[in-house]
Amino acid sequence: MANVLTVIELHEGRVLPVALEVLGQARRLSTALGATLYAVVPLGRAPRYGEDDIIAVLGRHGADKVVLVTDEALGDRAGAMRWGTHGASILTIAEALPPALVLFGATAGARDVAPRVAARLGAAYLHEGWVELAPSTEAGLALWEQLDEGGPRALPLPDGLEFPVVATIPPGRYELAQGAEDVEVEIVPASGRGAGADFEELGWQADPRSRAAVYGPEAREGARAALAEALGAVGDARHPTEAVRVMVSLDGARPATAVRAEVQVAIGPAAAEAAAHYALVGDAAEQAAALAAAVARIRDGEAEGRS
Amino acid sequence: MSRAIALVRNAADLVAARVAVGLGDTTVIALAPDSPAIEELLGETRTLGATRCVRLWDEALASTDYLGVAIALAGTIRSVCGELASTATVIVCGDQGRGAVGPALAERLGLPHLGAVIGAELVDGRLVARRREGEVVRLYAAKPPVVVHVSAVVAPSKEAASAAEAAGWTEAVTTTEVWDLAKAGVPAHELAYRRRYRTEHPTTEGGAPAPAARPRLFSSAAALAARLRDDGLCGNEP
Repeated sequence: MANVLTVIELHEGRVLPVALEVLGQARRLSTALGATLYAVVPLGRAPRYGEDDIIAVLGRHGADKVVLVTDEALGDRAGAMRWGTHGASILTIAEALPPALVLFGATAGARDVAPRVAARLGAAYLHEGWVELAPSTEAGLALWEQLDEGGPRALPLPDGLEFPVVATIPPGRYELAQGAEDVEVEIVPASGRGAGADFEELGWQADPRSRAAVYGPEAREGARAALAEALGAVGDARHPTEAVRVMVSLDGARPATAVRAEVQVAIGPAAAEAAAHYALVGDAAEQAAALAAAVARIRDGEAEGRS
Repeated sequence: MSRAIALVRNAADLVAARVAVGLGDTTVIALAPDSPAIEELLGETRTLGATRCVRLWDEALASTDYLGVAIALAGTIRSVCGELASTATVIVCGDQGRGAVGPALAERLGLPHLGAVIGAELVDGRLVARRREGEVVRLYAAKPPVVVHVSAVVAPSKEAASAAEAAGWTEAVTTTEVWDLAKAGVPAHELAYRRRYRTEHPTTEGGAPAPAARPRLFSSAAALAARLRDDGLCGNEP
């Protein structure tokens, strides 16, 4: 096992928390298996002097090496991962550093890009994966995935890890790791080759529909409505018709729905046992009201900062 | 003249057929063994306006992975439709399961792909697709042939069916064509090696215990709100 690549996704110029969590687990695996851990960061341009905070952050969280893949095609869109903008950067590094594992935080963009990277590499693909140490096995690790229905599914590795594996890993699954801030950095141009024909971005419209869904029993209707408003749910968020970004359950369990959500949050006395990404344990109505207030404070603070 | 291909595996993928019939003369390809449920699903796609239904199945498909499925579908689509570029073709996949087949199929066919699409229409020969990103809906366009992955949209089917009927696509199709890999021109051995890449539910004791999907606990509502902000999920974007 030689190279582990963790693809780093940014939001407003900062590393997404899920990317740091994935990097943390990759650090533990790489240490145990003797692999080199690369944090791969697609960027529109290399950071200028004084803009190298991303490098320090990735070093502190365990990267052996930070690879900044610069591609002018990304421009200022480095925060919205798509195959057409990010694919060439990731493939450039995957060809230069043939990986055993390529790990993504499970964001909306990564769910588009990671399977196509896997197909290009002829790799196995894990959806909502676990990458766990398993010292007693031939591969030294155990790989699992979680589909929408049923329990975890294992990738059998009877003869060790003989082929590359690409995985998306959901937020909240792994703890952070610590590393050295003084990390080796390499800047690699993506050579502007593009990853192939792609959709052209035309622009954007205000989103008239729900971006959040909040579920809960009738008795908590007030708290549900307040939280739905704070999170930007529009209309009847209990019955969304499209994928939403945040889904919150006030009865402590994940709602039984086919609607996909980037992050699922459980709130209630039994939330710690829920099949969700994040949990807030306590009285559901009180915690929902507190979360609504905290989200409103963030929004107000950001609005003030911008004005 | 435009053409659409909807890929379905179960009832949750009916959304792909709904979107497809709004885009062009629609062929539905179902990847499933014979069953009353799949026939019922194909019947629903006919009601929506699909003009051709193909059910593809082969034992090799039962034990292959996402890429094996994509290889089989790419061969089937080429066999069913001929040269994709000769007619504006939009391939529509559902978003259930891994959501990996659409991107892998696009890779096999060398086509543009866009995931998490919440709506699509043909405008001046280009497919204009919408998808939610952050606090906005972004618009994307590409000239077919293309592959799109649609999110769960429980839209009324009447509109799509009416559009198909108005365009004259609806014909009385009542039968399902049954295809296997040989008919699709895909050698089974091309899929067989992918068996090693496929995950499975553990069947024997003694292996590593299955992990549990436990959530990350937050000590306070403020801490959770801060995490959602850092995730880009509760700010004032753009």
